[in-house]
Amino acid sequence: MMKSLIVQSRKHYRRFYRLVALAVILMTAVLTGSLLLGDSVRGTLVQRVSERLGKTETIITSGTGFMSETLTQQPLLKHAKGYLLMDGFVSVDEKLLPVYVWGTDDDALSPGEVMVNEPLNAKLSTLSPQLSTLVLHLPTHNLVPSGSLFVSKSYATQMRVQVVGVKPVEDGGNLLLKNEQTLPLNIFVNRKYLAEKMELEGKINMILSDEMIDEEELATCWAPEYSGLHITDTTLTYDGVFIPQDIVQKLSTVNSQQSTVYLSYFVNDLIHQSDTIPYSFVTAVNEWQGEPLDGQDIILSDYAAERLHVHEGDSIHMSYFITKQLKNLDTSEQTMRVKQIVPLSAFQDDSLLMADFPGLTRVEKCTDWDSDLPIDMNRVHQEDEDFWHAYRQTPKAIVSYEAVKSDWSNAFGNATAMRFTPQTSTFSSAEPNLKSQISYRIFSTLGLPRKLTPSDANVQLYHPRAQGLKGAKGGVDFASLFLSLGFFIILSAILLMKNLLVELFTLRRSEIQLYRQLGFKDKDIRKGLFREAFSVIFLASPLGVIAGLAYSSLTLWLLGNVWSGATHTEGFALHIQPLTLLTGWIVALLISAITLWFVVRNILNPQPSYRIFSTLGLPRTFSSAEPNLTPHTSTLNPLIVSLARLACQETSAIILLLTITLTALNFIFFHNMVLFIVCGLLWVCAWGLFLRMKVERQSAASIGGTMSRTQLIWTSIHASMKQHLLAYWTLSLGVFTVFAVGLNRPDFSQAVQATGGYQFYVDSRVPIQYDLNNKAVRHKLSLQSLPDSTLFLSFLRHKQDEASCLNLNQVNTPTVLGVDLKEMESFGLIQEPHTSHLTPHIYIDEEALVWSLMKSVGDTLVYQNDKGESVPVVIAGTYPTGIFHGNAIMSSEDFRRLWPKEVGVEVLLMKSPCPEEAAETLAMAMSEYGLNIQTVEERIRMFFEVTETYLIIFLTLGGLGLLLGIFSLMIIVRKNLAAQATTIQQYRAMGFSESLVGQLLLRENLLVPLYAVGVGAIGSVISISANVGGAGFTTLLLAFAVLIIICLLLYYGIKYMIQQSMINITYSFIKTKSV
Amino acid sequence: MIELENITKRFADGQRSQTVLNHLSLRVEEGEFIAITGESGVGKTTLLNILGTLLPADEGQYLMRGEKVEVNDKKPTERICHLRNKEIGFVYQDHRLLPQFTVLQNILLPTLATQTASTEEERKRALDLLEFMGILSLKDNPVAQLSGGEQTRVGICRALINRPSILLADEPTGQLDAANAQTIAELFQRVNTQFHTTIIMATHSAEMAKVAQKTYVLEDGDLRLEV
Repeated sequence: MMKSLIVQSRKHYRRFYRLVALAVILMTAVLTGSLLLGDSVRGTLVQRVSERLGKTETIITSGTGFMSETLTQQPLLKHAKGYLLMDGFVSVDEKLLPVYVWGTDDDALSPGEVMVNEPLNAKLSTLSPQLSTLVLHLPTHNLVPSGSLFVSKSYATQMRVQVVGVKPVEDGGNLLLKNEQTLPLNIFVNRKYLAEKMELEGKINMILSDEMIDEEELATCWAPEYSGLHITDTTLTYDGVFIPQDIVQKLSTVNSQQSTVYLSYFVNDLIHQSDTIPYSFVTAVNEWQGEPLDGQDIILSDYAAERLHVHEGDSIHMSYFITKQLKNLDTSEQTMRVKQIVPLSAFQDDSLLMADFPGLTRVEKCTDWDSDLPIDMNRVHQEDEDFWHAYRQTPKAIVSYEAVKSDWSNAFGNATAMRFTPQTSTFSSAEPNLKSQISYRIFSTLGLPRKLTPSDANVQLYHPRAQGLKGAKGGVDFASLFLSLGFFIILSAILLMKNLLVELFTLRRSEIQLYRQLGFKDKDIRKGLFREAFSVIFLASPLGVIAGLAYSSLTLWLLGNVWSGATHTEGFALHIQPLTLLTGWIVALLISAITLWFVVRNILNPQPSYRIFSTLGLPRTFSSAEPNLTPHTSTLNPLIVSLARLACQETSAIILLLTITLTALNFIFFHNMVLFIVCGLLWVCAWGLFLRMKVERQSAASIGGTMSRTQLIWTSIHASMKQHLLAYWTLSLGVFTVFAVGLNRPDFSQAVQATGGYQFYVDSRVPIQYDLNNKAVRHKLSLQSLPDSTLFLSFLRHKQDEASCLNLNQVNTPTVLGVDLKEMESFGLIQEPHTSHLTPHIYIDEEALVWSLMKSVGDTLVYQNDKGESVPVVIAGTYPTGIFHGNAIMSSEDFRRLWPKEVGVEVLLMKSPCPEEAAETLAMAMSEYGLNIQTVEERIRMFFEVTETYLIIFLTLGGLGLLLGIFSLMIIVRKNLAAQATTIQQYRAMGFSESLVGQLLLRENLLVPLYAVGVGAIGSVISISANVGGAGFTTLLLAFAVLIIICLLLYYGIKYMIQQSMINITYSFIKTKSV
Repeated sequence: MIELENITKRFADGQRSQTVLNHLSLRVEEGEFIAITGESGVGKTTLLNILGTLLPADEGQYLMRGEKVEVNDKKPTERICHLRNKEIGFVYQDHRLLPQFTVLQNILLPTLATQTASTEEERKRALDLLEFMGILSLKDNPVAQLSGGEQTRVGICRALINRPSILLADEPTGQLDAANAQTIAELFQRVNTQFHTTIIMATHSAEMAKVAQKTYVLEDGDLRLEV
């Protein structure tokens, strides 16, 4: 029977239940959809890890150096491929596209042919649809590091290549080793061809293996030869010329007596009195033919002695270039004492004395020297050319290693060769050949090569998948984010459901009363009503789950397209987790059930429809003849009532005054955002209290006096004060929150100001080895037209994960910029006094620290230094989010200690009195460096765009929530109008015209909602007054449009409800009631 | 003063149609007090609603002081509003007082149909009416707190505030006990005599009908004068 009653009632009231179902569907959809969004974004990021890594499980890199391609022939690396990976760029239609260039052993690629990945192909197609030939720009990668002296003056090279196809994702087209979700722009080129062009034949710098390999396993198959460390008989030389300091130290420590260290150098002058020999190779050694070289000893070749007219014991001057930072050349001089003069052939006999600097040593004539050094060819004479022709880089002298070690060493090494000699006493009489053989045996027996590990040669190994998956899974939680963003929709849907149920059950009060009269217990009535409504909720909620799928699909599409400013990512895919669907469904069901339970519980304890008296006790008089009539306020002491009323008035006035004062003070002095938000909230509260006071005052004003239409309206509002105040607080706080958050843009102008006056942010694809503030350098780079007052601030860069808001993955180690910290004070960075000089410190911008790293000041990050060692780095402080967003700032001293080999400048800031001309000059003069020159405003706006997009999403979803809330308000209005049917009829009978009745009802029902929207909107403006201009014209326009739509909807919605109610009342009166 | 000629009123409910008033005619002179009796559901309220211009007749003619009164299904015209407000006062069985307002406010409500605020004179008149009805002390009380008899008296005051020439009362004592009903009946009589107000009262109470000068019985859609 009960079941039948429920079914019948549900059918009878289907008009209400359809709307209840709609509200449940909406709430379930947003709730489940938000949870699905979290899964989908996470799933997409995880998928991106697979896409960008393919089957790669282990990555072996050689840092700034190279490895031999033969290493991949080791059995351990049978599932591995060697690559020559370089950062490059292509210039298409005057637009610079940074690309990763992968030299790969792909048989399909002939020399000069390349394949591009899909994202690059899409970009190229957009920029230049017919393009098939690309000019690929690459930093010059010689075996000798670019950061050292004596390298070619050309730091970039270019090659023309033919695009022959698109490498699909499944073939590793989107290969990327960085922990980012953005798709890389990849170019795949024949490795041998690339190596040949870069003069790196047989070299690779990256091995990707499909198997998990650990460091011990790698050590078993690695040998120094694979890293270019050549061990021949008793010698050690290195492809990169400069043997890393650690190797020199390690091998010297094993048997210091037996090792000779060689360090060749190119000196500017050897001078004795008026005689000079320009541009000579000189080699420093710690011993010569068993004799140690001490102090200022120099051994001259007879050739040099003859040209300089010196004898043993004479002093000569030696001058040479040195550099401490970048290639800021200084000339250093030393006075040496001629210890010995030996035949030049003695130097010729020892090949280790002659280092191979490609640009200097592999030329036929001195005038062909290709060097970055300022060599004055006018000083090179015929006798120098003759010497070169006969002896090439044979040193003209050798000097004490100790005397020049500090000047001639660099970040890449402090020796150009090593010799391991048996103990002099043991082998002094032995044949040289035998001596060598024995020496090598000792070398091998001592196991010197085995003393070296891959990390000594900068060969490092890591497992990217685990890191990638950790980053993807630990990134931004889109489920929470979209639950927050869609909060208003969920809340409004709950309110809508609640209001509909209240309306439905209010309509059925007489029915409920009947059940009671028939002897039903309240508990049973509640149960019956609950079951009736819950059956609808239960049936609607699965539809909500399905709608949630549509909601999340739509949102994912929007995130990849319209809202791509928030993610900078395309192609989000829907990932459906059954557990998530179940969670969303159950939570929605629970919320609905609780709401329904509250409604059912309250409907059986009905409150009076009209609250005749305010609890604050407006003066009412009662007939003494009617002692049984008890006013609502009878229990309240009149004094308390008066005090409460006064307090309400006073509080309202005080809060309003406080708000205005605080806002003014804050606006003039503090500009504190939080204080502005508090002021906005106070504003809403003050006007809320004022509304209450006004209603009561207006309502009271008509008592005992004449009556006006306005009083009629106020009295009607007063009669349903609770509902009107609920409407006020809901609407005003809703509008306030949505607009205050939606319009509260980060302070763009402040961020722009905190840039030390620099106007441009320059990102160089090719490391710049020069100080651009140096006049000579400017001349050298054709930048002489820059005004003298043009200033550059240079940053070293250790590339790591992108930690800006553009990366959705969790980041462990952000990219580090090395700079003189004093220079950073104008950027808002407050330098903390170092507590320990041993631990490097970094500073990270506030947003990246909280959102990308999820760390706080004082925490430690672990970086790998140049040697592959893990180094803890302390987060010492923060700086305001601005142009360096996503980068960690480190002092250049700490930077050089950690990454001494990363010497080139990759980031520059520039300021100039003629900014645009300066930027143009820089771009033209350094076109081969692939400079990406952005104004600081552009760069900051790029980051702020992410926040802005999220705020626009909030504004949009919040706006939708508000609209739904307004719809919910309409239901209340409809319910109230239905309850006012008698009043409306009465108005008519008294001769009120239809338009007057409509007008009175419209004003009564519209006044508070419009007042609330206005107060909320002004409150939100107060809360964003710290940065009202920051919102931007489009956003302000959008907000204004949303506000207008809200007002229009309120106006027309309520008007429509009134018209409908009046028609219904007329209809029912005419057609039925009259009989 | 009032003439109804051949008034017919039908109500349709789906397929069915019911004729409630069938070629009914009635003439009421100025200052007359008539009662209309009849069984429940016979059409007394319909007749009063037609007289009060709240319902249009399907057929027939309604004349007031010789002028035709035309009521349509849709919006009431300005003249109709004027008639309702100035010429006709309505007293209901269920009083139809607005609970959010006090006694005085309820009485002053009709004055707002043609002006934005009531005048002091109207207020004074309302107080006079309250005094006339013997409930002046209740003027600032909320109507929800009044007894049935008091509410009826307030309803009469409200009906009289604009000094109408016609007072229509639909079962004004329907919810009252005999003593209260008698008091109200006497009040109607006093109103009729002191204010010269034409009163048309629908009632099923024979006792109530006795206070009227004429009594009509509504039967089969037509009126029969009871002698």
